[in-house]
Amino acid sequence: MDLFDTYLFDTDTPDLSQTINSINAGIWELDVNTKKIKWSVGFYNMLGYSPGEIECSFINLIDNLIYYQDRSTFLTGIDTTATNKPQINYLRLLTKSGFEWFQNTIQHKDDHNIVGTVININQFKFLEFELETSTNFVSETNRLVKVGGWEIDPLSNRFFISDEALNIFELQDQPSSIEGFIEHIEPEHRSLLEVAIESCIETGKPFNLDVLLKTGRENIIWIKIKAVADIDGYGKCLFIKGIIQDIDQVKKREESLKTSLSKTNQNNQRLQNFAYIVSHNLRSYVGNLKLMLNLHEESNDAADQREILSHVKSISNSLDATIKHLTEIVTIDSSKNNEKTLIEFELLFKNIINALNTNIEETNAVINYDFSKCSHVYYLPAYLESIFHNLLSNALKYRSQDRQLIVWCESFIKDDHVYIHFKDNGMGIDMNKFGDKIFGLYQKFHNNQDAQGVGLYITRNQIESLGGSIDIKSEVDVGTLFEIKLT
Amino acid sequence: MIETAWIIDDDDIYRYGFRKFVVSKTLCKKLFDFDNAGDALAVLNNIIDASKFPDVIFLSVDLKNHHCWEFISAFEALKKQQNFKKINIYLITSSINYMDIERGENYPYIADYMIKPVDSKQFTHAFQDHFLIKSA
Repeated sequence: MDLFDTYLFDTDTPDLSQTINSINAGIWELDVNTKKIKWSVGFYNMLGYSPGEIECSFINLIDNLIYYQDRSTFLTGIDTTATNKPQINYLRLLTKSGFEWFQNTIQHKDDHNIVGTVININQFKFLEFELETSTNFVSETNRLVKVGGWEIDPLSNRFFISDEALNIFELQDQPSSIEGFIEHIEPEHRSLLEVAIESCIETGKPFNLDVLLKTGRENIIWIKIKAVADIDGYGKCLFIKGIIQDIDQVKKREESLKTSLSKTNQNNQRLQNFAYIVSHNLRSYVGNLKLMLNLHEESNDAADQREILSHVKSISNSLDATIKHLTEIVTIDSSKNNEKTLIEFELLFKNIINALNTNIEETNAVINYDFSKCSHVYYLPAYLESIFHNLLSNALKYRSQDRQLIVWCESFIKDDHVYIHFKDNGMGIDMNKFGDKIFGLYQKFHNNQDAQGVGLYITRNQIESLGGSIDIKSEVDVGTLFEIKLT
Repeated sequence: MIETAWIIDDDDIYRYGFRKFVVSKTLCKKLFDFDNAGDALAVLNNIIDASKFPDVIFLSVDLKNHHCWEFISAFEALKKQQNFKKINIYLITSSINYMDIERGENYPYIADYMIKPVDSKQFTHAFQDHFLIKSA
């Protein structure tokens, strides 16, 4: 029987031919020698034509119907005569409404006749394409935002993480088990994750944790691990699914933001204190001044008036001194950009001793020092002078009345930083009571008439403005130790 | 007129001015001034004759070493122990730190909080206020 004598399968088996024609598939038969081709009715229908509407010829098929890029695919298909197995290829054919995708199955009938079946797969091809692009899109997006997926099958203890998650972990192979996965988490966060996974398996409680991960390449990064449990009708956990996200940059930015925020808060606090204190000090002078002037106005007694005026004078002097202090404090920040020079500790310290010599001799104090471990420092000379001057004059001011004052000062280097330790055997300060206030402005801890409460405030500000720090250890009636990190 | 007033302030000039002012306006019969809280507390502790207790105490918040608050705590303890007459305490300060004001509100014996410079009207009021409360 030759199916292709006419368009239709109408000669011998009309029922079958009708069935074949009515399905959305086309059949063709080609004689490779003569290039004579025959198409079934379905073939025409499939392309949107009725039989005979377009020319049934090999030339028409190759030149017009097959999309030019798919021509070689088709020709290769019919040329490979060696095999008897059906071959499948995918082509675009010109239908009445444009090119569409078709699946073409080629079978060699005998040595020169080839039969092909063509079905329209345009819809599937597009779906496949869409799927592919969206999968690409998802994994591309995941790669960009550094998100991967992970799953646990608690019944079989099976564990799986996606390729993107493997990338985050910088691993080649899947971790062998949950335990193997948890091993990559830094020790301090392991138990956190273990407990979360356990409670997720047992009670279905979802979790969202930020933990530190040591990657396959030994990088330590912050990751976010989220998970939700799939539970069955009885509340039993079937599966845990979640995401793993690299949040290292975000976390580090957050950390640095936190640090700068706390610095800002500290500065704010300091500024507010400063404002309070300035207002307090200036107000107390202004208040007294006003009081004196009122009294002066109301007084008729010359002796009284003289006394009041003498008070006005002393207020004016104190006010002047306070304003000088405040100016000094305000200029700390602006002078920190001045030139630093290489300073010899011993030379500078001796100058300070000379400047305070009268006080030292008066009190019979002993000043010892050792700058041999670190003889020089690169620093602002004016600041270092002021720091030493404040420390030494404080030690003299707050010496114990019961014993000879002994001061000890040394410099040394630790972890690439230059330190000064300054120790005395003076009155000391009750750290429990005043610990947080020692470096505050106008804080006085001793009933000493010389106390002005500015020195340590300035010292701390000078040290901190150049990136150092100052710490104090003190015990009442034993002495005080200042530990200063200069650079 | 009230009998006795105390002022506790380590600012010599302020104490001088305060005394001058009180005397010139004759706001009270007796005024005692202290430059530290310790002395004032010692006197308070040793009063035997109940009539010697002050009617009003002006206490500086800005005393060294937070002695102001130590004085108030000691005063409260003494008051509980001896149950002497009502004494109004006025806190005076040149600070505008509201932390201090809030802290002052926790103590029942503190009548008010006055910010320096305290004008004569305010002072006169503080003295008369007490007088009114007492006579009522």
